[in-house]
Amino acid sequence: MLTSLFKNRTVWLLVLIGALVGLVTRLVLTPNQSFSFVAAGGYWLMLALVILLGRSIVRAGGLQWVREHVSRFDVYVLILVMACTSAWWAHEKPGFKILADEVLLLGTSMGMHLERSSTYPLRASTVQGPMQILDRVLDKRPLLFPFLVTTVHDLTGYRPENAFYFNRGLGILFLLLVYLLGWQAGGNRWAGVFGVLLFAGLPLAAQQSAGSGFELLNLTAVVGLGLAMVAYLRSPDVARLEVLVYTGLALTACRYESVIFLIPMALTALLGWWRSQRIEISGPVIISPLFLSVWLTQNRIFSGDSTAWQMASKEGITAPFSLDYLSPNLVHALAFFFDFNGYQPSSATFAVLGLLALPLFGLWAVRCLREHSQTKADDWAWILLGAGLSVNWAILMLYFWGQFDDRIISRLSLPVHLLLLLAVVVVARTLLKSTRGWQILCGIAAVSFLGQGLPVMAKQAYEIDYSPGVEMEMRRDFLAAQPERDFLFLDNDAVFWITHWIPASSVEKSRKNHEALGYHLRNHSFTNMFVFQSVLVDDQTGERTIDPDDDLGEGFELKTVWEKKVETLLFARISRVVAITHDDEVIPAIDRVAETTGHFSDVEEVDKARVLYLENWIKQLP
Amino acid sequence: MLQRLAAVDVLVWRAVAFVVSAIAAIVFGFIYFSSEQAGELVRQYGYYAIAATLLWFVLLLVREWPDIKRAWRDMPRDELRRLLLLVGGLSIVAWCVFPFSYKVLFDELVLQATSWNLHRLREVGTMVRGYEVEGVFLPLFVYLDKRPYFFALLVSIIHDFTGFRENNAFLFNAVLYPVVLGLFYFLVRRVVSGRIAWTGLACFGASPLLAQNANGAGMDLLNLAMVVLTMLLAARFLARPDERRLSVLFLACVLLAQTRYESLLFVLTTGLVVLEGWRRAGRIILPVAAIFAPLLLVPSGLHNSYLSGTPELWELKENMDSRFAVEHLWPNLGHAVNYFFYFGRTILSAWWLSVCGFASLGWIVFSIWRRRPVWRQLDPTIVAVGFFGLAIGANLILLLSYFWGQLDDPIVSRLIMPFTVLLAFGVVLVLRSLDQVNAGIKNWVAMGALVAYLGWGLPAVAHNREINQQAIELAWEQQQVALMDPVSRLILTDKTTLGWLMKGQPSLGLNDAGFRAEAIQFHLDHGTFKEVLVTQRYRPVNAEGRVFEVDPRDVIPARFVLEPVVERMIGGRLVRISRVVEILPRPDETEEESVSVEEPALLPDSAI
Repeated sequence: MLTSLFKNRTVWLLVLIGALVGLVTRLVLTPNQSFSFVAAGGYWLMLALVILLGRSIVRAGGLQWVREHVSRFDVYVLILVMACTSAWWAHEKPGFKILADEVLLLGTSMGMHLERSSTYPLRASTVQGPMQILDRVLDKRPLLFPFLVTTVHDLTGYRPENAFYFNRGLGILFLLLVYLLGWQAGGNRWAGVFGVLLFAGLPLAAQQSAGSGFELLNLTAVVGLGLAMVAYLRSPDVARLEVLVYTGLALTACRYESVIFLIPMALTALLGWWRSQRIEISGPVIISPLFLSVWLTQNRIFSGDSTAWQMASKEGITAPFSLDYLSPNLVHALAFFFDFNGYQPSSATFAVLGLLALPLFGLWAVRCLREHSQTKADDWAWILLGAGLSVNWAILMLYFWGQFDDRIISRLSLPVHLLLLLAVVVVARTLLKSTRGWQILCGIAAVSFLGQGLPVMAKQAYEIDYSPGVEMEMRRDFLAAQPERDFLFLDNDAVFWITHWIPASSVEKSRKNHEALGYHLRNHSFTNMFVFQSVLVDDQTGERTIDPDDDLGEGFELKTVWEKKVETLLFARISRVVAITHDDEVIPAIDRVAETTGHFSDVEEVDKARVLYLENWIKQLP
Repeated sequence: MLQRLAAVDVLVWRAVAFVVSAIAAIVFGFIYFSSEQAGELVRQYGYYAIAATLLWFVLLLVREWPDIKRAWRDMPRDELRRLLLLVGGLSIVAWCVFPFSYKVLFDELVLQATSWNLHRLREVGTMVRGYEVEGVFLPLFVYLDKRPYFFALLVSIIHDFTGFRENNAFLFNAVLYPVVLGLFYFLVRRVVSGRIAWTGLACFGASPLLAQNANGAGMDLLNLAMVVLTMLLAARFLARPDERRLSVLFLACVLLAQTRYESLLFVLTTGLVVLEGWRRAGRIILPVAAIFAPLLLVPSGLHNSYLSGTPELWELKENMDSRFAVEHLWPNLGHAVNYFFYFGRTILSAWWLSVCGFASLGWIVFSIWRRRPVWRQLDPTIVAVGFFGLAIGANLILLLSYFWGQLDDPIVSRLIMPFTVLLAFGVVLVLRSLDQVNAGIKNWVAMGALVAYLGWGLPAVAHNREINQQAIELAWEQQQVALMDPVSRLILTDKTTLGWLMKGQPSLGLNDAGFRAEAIQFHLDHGTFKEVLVTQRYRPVNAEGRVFEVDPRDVIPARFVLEPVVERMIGGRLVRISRVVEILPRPDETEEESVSVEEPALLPDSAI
């Protein structure tokens, strides 16, 4: 088998293309070329990836399989899934749950939608009618999620809320795939129902389904990969190999660390060849390494960036990964899993069942590997998927910021939950001999959903104490209350405003462009000029100070419009700029500009003056 | 023998009647009436003439219902599913990506106003001033516009059944879009297989320009629908020439002629189709509808006479005395090439259709030159499309020699839609030939069309969503007024009054304000209006801004003392709504002159 692998020309061609992609993206392209490549080519590579994935599923008979296997029971499951997701949406308000990921992903989808550029806007203007993006920035996040949201924008028109709608729809698909995975892994449809109920009762899943992040897509792709692995190993043919490869590539384009799933994917392909004793590769598989080029290029651009690992966000951190982080991170993970007061979006039932089953799953996997000649195709798939998920967890536990009970990090535990589910279902399959046992498990999961999951979702404690989320909600509420959208916002989360068609600039840039802001205030370019600031309260004196990052500095006279308590000792404030002092000149905000008449002699002169003014106007944008 | 003689006599009588009808149509349509008389006749009786034609057409179409039903019934289930999927998908996307809004500066509002008039007064005209008199909003001055009014008639019928709403025009166009797609499919399906027709429909329908028009209130989509419908009816007639099919073709042609100005040209091509039909049938077919058809075209002739005698409706630029000139041809051709082969994402073009369509048309011309096919034996649908293609080509040349015929101008692009039918038809004909060589090509062409739509078309749509600055300004002004207290008010607007009148809000152009100042004061005194608002645009006088000046086109006489209420920057212009606080007494002529040239002092710096 090994000899035929080395003798196979198509395998060599595949390796050669992979090597070329690696060489070009890692060594040949200059930083500027890398930026241009991802910005200009990202959308198109994602489009081709999705088309080829869809094509491979159709060719492999995926739709036919569904048609042949759907029964009345599955219709009830669909109703159950709809009911569960409805409960999610009833309790989880759509909004930006994790910052700044979700806003930047939305910004990238905006850039793709308007210009097919895989970048997010940093400065934009609507002065000439259509939104014009003036400055673009490449994000470090993979591009599949923004691409899919872009497609929703393309087909229904741009709306910032499209990202929420997309994740809501994805919630339904995710639970259906969990059902399929449970059914296939447990060998019983009730095992699938158990999986659905267990995830339905996890507030974290509900939260992600109401947000605009890429976590749920990543998780859905992991489940998809698991199903593709089973399908391929059951009948290793070219069509299913394509499904396997392109599902793996799609997963790689979901989250940074999901690239590790390429290893179980490749092992599955090799195992399939070994079990069928034949090596078959099709054209789409040969060219598949091309789709890694975006990930490789982005990784190259951002691995040189000192802020890429966000080490500055914690004091005293010198290395992003270390064994020293393992022990405290495990403690944080347990604190997350076994929180009973609702301040963590976790499910204790999920954790208890999963953590009990996990060691048994490990033992079962070792036994299967020892008796590998008798191991069934399905079991190979679950072992490889479990291994991939375990490595994913291990990486997080070695990461300096891998504390699951941290608001920003808890979402990363979703693949861990999938691992726990897989472990429970596989272990239960070996223990339960009848459908009744599965039904009892479903009952436990249902009671957990009703008894713990829903009240925790209703309480929303895990969101209320996440201050960036509360501040973002405040922005959304403020925007919703405005009858007009012709104001300028100075805010360090400027992308939020731009994605809502509001001209905006960061506080830092505003500080530097003092004069330009004066120009716009004087000319009444915007009906209003607002600034968003965090206000810190001294716990001893009660004195309030503006967060230094949000401080506009000297020369700005502000009037508070709305102030809201975000958490203890922290307020968020929206103020109106009422005057700017520049070169000893006080420029007050005005309700109307000064006017004259009789200056212009003809229309051409008018247009000439307008062009001059517009050019200067755009130059002066902060 | 007697029977034959009687039959000949009938035919002769019909021929004589047709000739008389044609002569009468020319005399009464173009010669007998003066421009003013022609306009007045259309204004008073145009509604009844076109409504009668429409009614007759619908009755004839109902008679054809069994044929239409058979076409649906005989279609394989799989083909029907594919067709509905594509038409439904394209329609839903088109409805979602563009908001219902005015896309063309003036046309759409005029058509809305005309439909309002047809709905309430059965009079073809557009109001300029309108007021509430004893509880009823009535137009005080109505003029006959240059635009043909078939679109306005159809919208007015919707108003008749559902009540007047501005949105009715938008909804009508939204529904027309899938109808156009369906008609095109049935046209090309007559000559190619279902799969190729599907590909042709993907090339034709996946167009950002069609999507834009599906959400506007213009007449262009109706014109396209009528062109394709008339082509389809012509193809049916040529396939089996008889009285029934000819009748419905004639009436479709009459209605098409009243859809857009230049659509009168299709009367000639329909004539050619009829002659070819007679040749194919080996006899002269002259149903009653054919005899009356020239007379039914009289309103079009009268409207044309009125337009020719009313140069102020031509919208000519300064120093121009003619709308068409050969000198426009060459520069406009450059704009056309830029439109067809535009690979950016700001113009509403479909480069895939252009590339495939022009290549196909080129190949067809080359094939005709090489093989010299016997046209008499050609498929009736190809002959029909060929004849109509002549008119579409002539229209294109006419458009290119028009002073405002730059196709890459967002206002002009819509006029190319009938030509895209020819391009797509060319594509399906070539695919039919290529299908024997490689059956997979049609799939690639369809995929290319959809990918080009997704990759270029829809981003262009996103760019053009809010490109009509005037509509944005008007919407903002109306929003601001809606936020004010609900008192009776008069709006002196710098734009067309129609946008306000359509909402039942009295409005007057700024140009009219000066010589109606006393009337305005009278009604202010008598409480007809509680306030008078003025909308104006201000321009920056230099790059630095600071001081703005009222646009020379928006200047209101100095007798109106204004107090600014609210303002906003839109597109480098400052749009301001002011309230009239006082109307000064009319000065004598000398003073009036001095007021108009007087330049008020700049506000002191401290006030800035």
